[in-house]
Amino acid sequence: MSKAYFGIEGLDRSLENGVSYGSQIAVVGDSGIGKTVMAGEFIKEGLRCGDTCIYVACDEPPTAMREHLQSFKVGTPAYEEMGRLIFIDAYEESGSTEKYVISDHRHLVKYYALEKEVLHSYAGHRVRLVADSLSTLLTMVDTAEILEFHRTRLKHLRKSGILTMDIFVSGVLDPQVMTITGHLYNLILKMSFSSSRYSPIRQLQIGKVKSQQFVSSRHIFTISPIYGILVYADMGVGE
Amino acid sequence: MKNSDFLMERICRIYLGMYKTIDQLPFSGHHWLEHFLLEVVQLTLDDHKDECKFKSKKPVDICRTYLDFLNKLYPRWVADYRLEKSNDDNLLFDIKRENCSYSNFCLQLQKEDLPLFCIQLGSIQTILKIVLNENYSHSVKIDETGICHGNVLPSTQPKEEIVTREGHTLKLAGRKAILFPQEMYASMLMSIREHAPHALKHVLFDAGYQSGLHTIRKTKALYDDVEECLRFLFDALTNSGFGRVELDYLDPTIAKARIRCHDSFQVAVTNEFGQLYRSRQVICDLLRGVFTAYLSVLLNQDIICEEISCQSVGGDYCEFLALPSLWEKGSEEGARG
Repeated sequence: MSKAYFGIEGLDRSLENGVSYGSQIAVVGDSGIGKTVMAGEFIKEGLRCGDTCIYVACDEPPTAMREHLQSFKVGTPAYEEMGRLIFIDAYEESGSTEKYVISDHRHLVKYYALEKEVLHSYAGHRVRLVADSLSTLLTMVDTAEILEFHRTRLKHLRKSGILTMDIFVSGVLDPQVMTITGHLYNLILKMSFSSSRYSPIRQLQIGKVKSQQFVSSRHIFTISPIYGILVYADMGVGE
Repeated sequence: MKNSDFLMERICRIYLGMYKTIDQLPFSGHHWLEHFLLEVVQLTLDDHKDECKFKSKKPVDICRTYLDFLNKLYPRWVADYRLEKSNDDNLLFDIKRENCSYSNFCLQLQKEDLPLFCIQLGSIQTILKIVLNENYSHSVKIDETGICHGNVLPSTQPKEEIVTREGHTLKLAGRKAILFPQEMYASMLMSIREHAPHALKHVLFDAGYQSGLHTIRKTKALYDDVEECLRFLFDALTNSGFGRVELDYLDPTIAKARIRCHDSFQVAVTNEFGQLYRSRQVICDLLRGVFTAYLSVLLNQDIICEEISCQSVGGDYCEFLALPSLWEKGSEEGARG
């Protein structure tokens, strides 16, 4: 089975052999750090590689991602017409014109059912799934239910060979929940601002949780309106 | 066989040989024979400067002067022809095939089922080009009695895609051109991949888009019909070695097009010199940019074209799907959270 990449040179170089389909990736980051841009890069790469990409829009209407992709010259209308780019609207509860809409954001069961239904219709395809941001869907849910949802969902996604990217906004969920949840992901990308004398610097930590510790390498990155995320791989510092 | 008949037969054979090799000659374009005729007619005029004077600027008079001049040089070169102006300002030219010096050439084309090309009419459009500096084209039909009915009409289509050499300068469509082997092209790509891998696909798309804009702005004015214009441009791409580009589907009312490219040059380079990207993916961004530019200008709206299948990842051909863009310039919000 071929390996997947993000389409971000510095990040892909750090991963060396890429990630397997069926892997789960958590992207955790500060507000405004570029998590959605990261999601866009992941989708762009998937579309170029022939994958079917499913984007769950929780924080903004799906059109925001359409416009974002098109600003990078991605022909979303062509991919949507071919059924290779699918949007699930988890933002607008009513009045959405999308084909797939989550009508009640408070019930994880309903979300999970819709996600499974959509994935089922693309069985046999190589699929990338992005939930942006999953933490928004989990804010009103109690800890036990969140953990149960994660275990069940991620198990199903792994079994189905879905390459998943779940996005979490830093500070929204309880740190203990995030630590436990972190064990369930094959790869964690932490995006944060670090203070600098002159201006904030964007940092990316690439790693995974081992024995409740986040083991990662640290890199500086920037966001270009033309190229997207640029990770300075050679400036990585092991932690 | 008289000497003159033998020589005429040889001339027709030379024309036939040239006509049949047009498709095999790189960069010959569709108008190679016309370019050749241009030289022949010009040389004939230069050789007989004082014998052929064009007093009128009317196309029909220019053609009569020239044909009569030829008949004076060589009796019955183009005998008993009829030439007149039609209501729509075209020139109608009729001649019995047996009265035309090039009948042997013409008969051979028919025998080999090749598209008709009339050297006599080619000469007529050439003399108009020389005297009036205007492009003409022609069509011809031969009826069952063996009479050729020709139509010479003003042409807006460029006849200059042929590669020419002027001194040490190579020109394509009248512009300076460069011809280099795929090794040089591959080396440029590999250098970009080495020094700025993040920029590679953007560079290719943008290079295609900018060069496509230059071409389409020049070509659009020459065609009223979008499809005709696209087919001309795709022929030019094919002729230039990008691959066999063809328009599979076009609906201008919804601004949708599907384009195929067989044996893309880009794919051949990648197969031979190494993959451009870590993962197996579509790679023909240069063509994607070219098509995006062509369609955006021709359909007068922002079009975005995607390569949806590529020979580099196992497709039988590269396929591109173009649709209107939803994104309006200026709506970009920059980095998102």
